[in-house]
Amino acid sequence: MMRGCLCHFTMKRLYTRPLLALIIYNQRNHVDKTGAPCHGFLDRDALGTRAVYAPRISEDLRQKIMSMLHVGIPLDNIIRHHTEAVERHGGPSNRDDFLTRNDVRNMERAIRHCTYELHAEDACSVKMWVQRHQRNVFFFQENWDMEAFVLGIQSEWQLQQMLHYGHNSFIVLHSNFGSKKLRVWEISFLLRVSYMINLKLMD
Amino acid sequence: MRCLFEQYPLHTLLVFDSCQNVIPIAWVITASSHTQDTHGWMVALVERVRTKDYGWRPNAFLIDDPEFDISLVRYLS
Repeated sequence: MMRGCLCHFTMKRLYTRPLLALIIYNQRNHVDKTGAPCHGFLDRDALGTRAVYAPRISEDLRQKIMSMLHVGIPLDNIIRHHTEAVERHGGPSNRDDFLTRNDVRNMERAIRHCTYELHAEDACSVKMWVQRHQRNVFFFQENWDMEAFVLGIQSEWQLQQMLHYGHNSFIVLHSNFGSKKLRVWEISFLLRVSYMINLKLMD
Repeated sequence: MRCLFEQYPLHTLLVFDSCQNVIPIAWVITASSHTQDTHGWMVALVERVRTKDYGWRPNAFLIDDPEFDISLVRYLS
């Protein structure tokens, strides 16, 4: 509120349906009384030296670095890649361009400490995850008496790729399930597929 | 979910783009490859795709699990 931001909302929850909430924005934009933007790129005060008061890496860059870390790209390579990209667009101009090794190390630490455990019980964890990611879950079936469940995950982007590249083409099912009982030639096929996935992610 | 991934295997469905890069198009986590379970997600997935494009049809379906029930592939074709 120190910047006079008027953005605020009201949240209503039903006692009987605690997982559902209705959010009503009273003021959706991050503006002050005069109507001038208070945060982000539109905020003129955040440009230049004033930006040191609210330095923050954009969500886009954070996601990009996180995915690079997830596929195992070393810190040095990430920094080099970033520096080259900044030089290509004519030197640093915003907070993102000043990405430091410490920023990347912090993200590394965040990944290391992230356990993804939503609940101590696996059954509850899975149910909560499905509840939170309904848009990306195309199939869910559970049978916890047998300690079994089936969870199918597909994002909208993946659906589009499936429509585009799967039609009149071929689809591969890669299962790490049966890898121990496979014969030799089948194992070599598995390796080839996972190698290619890695290549794609490293791009 | 990390412990779940170790305990419950992951199936990945893949397609190839025009540069022969592999794109994962769906993941299925399941404790078994029972025909019944596979049937469930396979039908759900194909129905999801066909609601977008009724004529959607792959030419081939490659599998690496020798215990996979081949007859399920008919849902794709």
